[in-house]
Amino acid sequence: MSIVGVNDKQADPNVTDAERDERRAEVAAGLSRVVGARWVATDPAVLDTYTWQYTAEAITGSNWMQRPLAVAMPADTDEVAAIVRLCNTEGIQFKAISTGFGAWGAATEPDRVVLLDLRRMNRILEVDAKNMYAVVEPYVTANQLQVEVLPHGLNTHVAGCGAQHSVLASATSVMGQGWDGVSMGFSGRNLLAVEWVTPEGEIVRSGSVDASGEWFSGDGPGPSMRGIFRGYAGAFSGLGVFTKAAVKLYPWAGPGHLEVTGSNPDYMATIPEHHVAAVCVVDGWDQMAELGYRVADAEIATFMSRNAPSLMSGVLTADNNTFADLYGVPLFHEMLYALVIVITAESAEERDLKVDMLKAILSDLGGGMLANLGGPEEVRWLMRAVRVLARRIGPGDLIRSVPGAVRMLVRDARRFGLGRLSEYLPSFMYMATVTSGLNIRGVFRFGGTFWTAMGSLVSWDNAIHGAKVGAQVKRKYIDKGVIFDDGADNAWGGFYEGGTYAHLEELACYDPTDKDAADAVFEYVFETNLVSIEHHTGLPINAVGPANSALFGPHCSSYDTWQDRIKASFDPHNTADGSFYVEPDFTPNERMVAGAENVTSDRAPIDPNAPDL
Amino acid sequence: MTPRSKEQMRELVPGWEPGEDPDSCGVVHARTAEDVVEIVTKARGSGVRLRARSSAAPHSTVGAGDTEAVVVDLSELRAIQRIDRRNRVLLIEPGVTFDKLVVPLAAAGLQAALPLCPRPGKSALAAWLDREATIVPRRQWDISDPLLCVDAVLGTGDRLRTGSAAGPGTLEEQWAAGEAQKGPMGPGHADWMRLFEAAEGAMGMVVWASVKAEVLPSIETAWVAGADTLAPLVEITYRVLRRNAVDICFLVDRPTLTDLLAVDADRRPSVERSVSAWNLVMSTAGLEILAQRRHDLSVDIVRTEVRAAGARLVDPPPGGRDRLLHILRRPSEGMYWRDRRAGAHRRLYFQTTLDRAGQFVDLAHATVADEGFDRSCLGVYVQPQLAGRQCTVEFLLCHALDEEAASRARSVATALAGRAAAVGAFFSRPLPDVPVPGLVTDATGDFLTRVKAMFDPQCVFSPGALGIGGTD
Ligand SMILES: Cc1cc2nc3c(=O)[nH]c(=O)nc-3n(C[C@H](O)[C@H](O)[C@H](O)COP(=O)(O)OP(=O)(O)OC[C@H]3O[C@@H](n4cnc5c(N)ncnc54)[C@H](O)[C@@H]3O)c2cc1C
Repeated sequence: MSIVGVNDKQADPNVTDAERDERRAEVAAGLSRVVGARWVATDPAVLDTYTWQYTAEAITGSNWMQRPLAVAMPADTDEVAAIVRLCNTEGIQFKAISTGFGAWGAATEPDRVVLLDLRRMNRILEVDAKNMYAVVEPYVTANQLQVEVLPHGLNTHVAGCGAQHSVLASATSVMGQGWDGVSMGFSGRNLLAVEWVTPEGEIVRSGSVDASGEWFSGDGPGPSMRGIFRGYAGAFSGLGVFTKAAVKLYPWAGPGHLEVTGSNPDYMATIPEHHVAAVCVVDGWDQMAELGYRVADAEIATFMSRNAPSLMSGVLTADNNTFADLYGVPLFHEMLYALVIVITAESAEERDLKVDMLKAILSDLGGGMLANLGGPEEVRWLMRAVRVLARRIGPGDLIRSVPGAVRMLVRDARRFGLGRLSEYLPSFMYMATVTSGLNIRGVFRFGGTFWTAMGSLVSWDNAIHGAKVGAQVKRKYIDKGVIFDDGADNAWGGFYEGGTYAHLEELACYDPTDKDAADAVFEYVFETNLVSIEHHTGLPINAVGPANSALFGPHCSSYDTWQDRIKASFDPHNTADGSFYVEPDFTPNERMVAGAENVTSDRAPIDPNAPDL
Repeated sequence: MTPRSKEQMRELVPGWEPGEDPDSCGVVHARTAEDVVEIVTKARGSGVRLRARSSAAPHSTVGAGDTEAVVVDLSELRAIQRIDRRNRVLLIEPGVTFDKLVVPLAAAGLQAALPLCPRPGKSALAAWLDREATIVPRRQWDISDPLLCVDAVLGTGDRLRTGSAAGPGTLEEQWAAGEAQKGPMGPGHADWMRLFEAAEGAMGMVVWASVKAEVLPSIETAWVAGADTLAPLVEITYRVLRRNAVDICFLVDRPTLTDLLAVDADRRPSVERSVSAWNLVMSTAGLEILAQRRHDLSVDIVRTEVRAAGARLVDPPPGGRDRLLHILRRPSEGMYWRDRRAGAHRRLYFQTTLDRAGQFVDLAHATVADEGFDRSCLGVYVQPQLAGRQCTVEFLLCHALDEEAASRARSVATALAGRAAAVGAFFSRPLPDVPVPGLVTDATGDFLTRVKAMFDPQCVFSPGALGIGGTD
C-alpha cells in the first residue's frame, strides 16, 4: 500500500540474459509439473501485463513494476502449497495476487518472484445465512458475494476501492476501509477462520475449522493466529498465501437486488422503500465532529462517510467538463462539512424513527440535508442545508451559484428525466455507498490517478485533526502545481464498528505520466508520514512496508523489530516476497533518500489550530 | 524449578514474599507497570517462572497447575485511568474489578460490556483478555471485544503497546490530539493484542488496556421469553439479533435462571416453580435521542418474533423486570450466582453456532446420566456472540464444597469435554484443570511455540493450561 518505503530493486548484473532465461525455463518446468504447462506463463509479453500497475510510477519512477520470473495459476490449495515448497527449494520468492489492483501485487525485484495468480480459485464455498458468514476463495469479488447474499437478507463489507476487489485479499492481507464500516466494520476484523499456506508450504487452518471443520471462528485455542498475519495493514502476501477465508456477513434490510436504470456512465439506482440517502450539511469541523459522534451514538446509519466537494463532484459527474461546471458552483464548492448517511430500515416505522433521530441531531447542530425525504419535508431540509452553505459563502456567491446550479439541473433532467430530478443526488450517493460502485471515478478522472495519505484508524476527533494537518501538507504540493487542486481538503473516510474508530485519508490526484508529479506524490506521502508523528495523528495508511516500519517503529513501541521477528520465525528462508511487508535485507534506494532529503529541507508550514477552510 | 532459599528468591525477585497460597511459589506485588518490568527483567534467565494474578481469589484459570511459579500480584494496579464518554472508551489497569466499574461509568453516562453477572472482585481486564463472553451480542463486533488496545510487558522485559495506543505520542499527547486509544489493530502488520488473549499470561503481562464502553440507555426493559424446549428460543434469538432489536440476549435453562434470580436461598423453590424450562433473556433499550420510540419499536419486534415462534413472554420473578435488569447490569450480589445451587461449581465452556447448541445440550444430559451425576446439578447457559454468528455454550456442574464432590464434577466435566470435542465443540480457550483431547493441534502448537519464542524466549512466564513454552 505504501509507495514510500518500497524498494524497487535492480537486476543482478552478474546474471546474463541467457542464464536468466535458463533459470526461468527451469522454474517453469517445475511449476508445470504442479499446475500443468497450460497454467504457467513465461512469455515476456504476458509477464509484463503483470507489471503495468497502479501507483508504479511513484515507486519505480516509471509506470512499470518488475517482471516476475514466471506466473502460475494454481487450481487449489494443494497446488499453491506445492508451488510455495518449490520456491523454498529453488531459493526464489513468491507473491500471491487475488484481484491484483495495484503495485503491491507485483514484483519489486526483477526475475526473482513467481506470481501466483489465483483467479482460478473463484468459488463461494459456503453461505451460512443463518450464522451470517460466507466462505470464499481468493478470486471471489465483493460484488459477486454481495449479489449472492442480498437475497438472503445479508450484505458484505465492500472496501472503498470498489466492489471488484477480492473479499479474501481484503480480509486477510490488505487494509479494509470502506463506506459501510459503521455497520459492517473493517475487513481484517470481519475475518473468521482461514486456510493458510505458510511461507514454508504448510497448509494451516485456523480456529474452529482446524478443530471441527466449521468456519465460524478464527481465534484460538488460546491466542489468535490472526494476531500474526493480519494487523492493521495485512502482510501483502509477505507471510504466505490464504486459500480460503470465512468472512462475516451483515443483516441487509433491503431488496434481494438493486434496481439500476441507465447505462455507464449515466446510471441511477432506485432507492428501495424504507431507505434514505442523505447528504447532511453542517458548518465547520467542530460541528462535523459532533455530527459524527451523535449519529454513531444513535445507531441509525448503515453507511456513513465524509466526502469532500471535489470527490463528490467527481462521483456525481461523468466527465471533467461537467465536473468543472459543478465544482465551480460556490454552493457546491463549499460543501466541505457534510456526511453522507444512508439509513436502511425494514419498516416505515423504523425508517421514520431513524430519520426523526437524524433530524433531531441536525436541528440541534443547525444543519440541513439533501435527502430523499419526499414532499415538503425534503424541500424544508434542503433549504436548511442551503442556509448553512449560504452563511459560509455569503450572498454574492449564493447568487453566483444560481446559473451553475440551474445548468446542472437542466443537464441532469436531460440525462435522467425531469421526474427523477429530485432523486438524482440521493440516488448517486446511495449507489456510491451501497455498491461502492461510483466513487473511484471521483478520483481517477482528474489527473489519471491518485494516491492517499494520513488515514489512521483512530477516534473521530483525531481523524479530523489528521485531516486538518494533512490538507496543509497537501497545499504545498498543490501550490507547486504538481498535484491537482482539489481545494486541499479532500479527506475521505468513514466510521467503523458503530463509530468505535474512524478514518479520514487525504486523497491526492495527479498525472501518472508526469515524472514531477510522481516524485511529488512520493514526497507528499513521506511528509504526511512525518506530520503524523509530529502531530500524533496515529499510524497512517502509508505506515506499511520496511521503510515506514523503520520510520514509525521507534515512535510506536518498536513494533518494527517484532515484525522482523515474526518474519524471521515464520519465513526463515525469506521465500514470501515481503517488499510491502518486512524485508530482512532492506536498504533504502537512491530515489527514496533523495525524496526524503527534499522533504526535510522544505517542510510545509503546519498550524494545528488553523481555522476551518 | 530448582528449590531455592527465601534469600535467593528475594534476590531473584525483588519484593518476593513466601505467600500463603499453596498453589504457588510465593508472591510479589507490583504497584506500577515499571515494577512489572523490573520483576520480569530480574527473573528472566534465573529459572524462576512468573504468573500474573490480577484480582482476588478464587482464580479460575490463571497458570493452572503451575505451583512452582511465583505469582505476580497485579491487584494494586487498580487505577481507572480514563473514562471518556465522547469516545465511549475507558482505560483501566488489571486490578480494576467489575464492582469498581459500575458507578463511575454510570456517572459518565456509560456502562461496561459485562459478562453474565461476573464475580464482583474479578479483574475486568483479565476477564476480557480471556475472551469471557459478554451479554450484549449485538455490540460485539470482534471476538476480542470490548478490548481495544493493551500495554504488555513481555518476557524479554520490553513493553509493547498495541493498536492506536502504540503511538506516535504518549497517551497524554494522544489525548491532547483527540485520540482515545480506539483503534484495535496493529500497529503495522500484526494484531499484537490478539497474541496476549486467552494466553493466561504466557505471552506477556498486560498492565493496562483501553476498552469499549456502551452508552447507558435512558430506558431499558428486561424480557424473558419462555418455552418448553430450546429450539423455538434459538429461532427467536436469530431473528431479534438480525433486527438489532435487543441489547442483553442469552439463553438459560430453568435451574440456571433460578440461580441467577434467587439471590436468597429460601426463595429458590418459588422462583424455580415460576420460570420456564427454557428461557431467552433479553433487554430492549432506548438510548438518548427519541429513546422511548426506539425502545417501543424494539419491543414490538420482540413481541412479534416471540409470538411467531410459538413461545411466550413471561413475567420474570421475583420483583419483575426492574429487578431482573438490576441483576443483569451488575456483578453478582450476595453469594456468587454460580455457587448458589450447591455451594460450588465447575464450568465447562466452548464455542459453536446457535443452531448446534441444542445438540450439545442433549449430549450434556446424556453424559450426566451416564456418569451418574445428579441431573438437577447441571445448568445450561448459551451466550450468543458476534451478533449471533456464534455462541458460547456453558455447562454448569454444581456441586457441594467438599473435595470428593469437586473431583466428581471434574471427572464429569472431563468426560463431557471429550465427548463435546469429538462432535465439534470448539474450545477456543483452555478450561481450568480439564483436559480437552486434541485441543492443541500440530498447527496451533507450532504457532504458539513460535510466538512464545519471540515474546518470552526464556520462558519466564508460566505456560498456562495450553502448555505454551512448557517442557512437555
Ligand atoms: C483505486 C484504489 C482504491 C483503493 N481504495 C481502497 C480502500 O478504500 N480501502 C481499502 O481497503 N483498500 C483500498 N485499496 C487497496 C486494495 O486494492 C484493496 O484493499 C483490495 O481489497 C484488495 O484488492 P486487490 O485487487 O488489491 O488485491 P490483490 O492485489 O490481489 O492483493 C492485495 C495484496 O494482498 C496480497 N494477496 C492477495 N491475495 C492474497 C492471498 N490469497 N494470500 C496472501 N496474500 C494475498 C497481494 O500480494 C497484494 O499485496 C484501493 C486500491 C485501489 C487500486
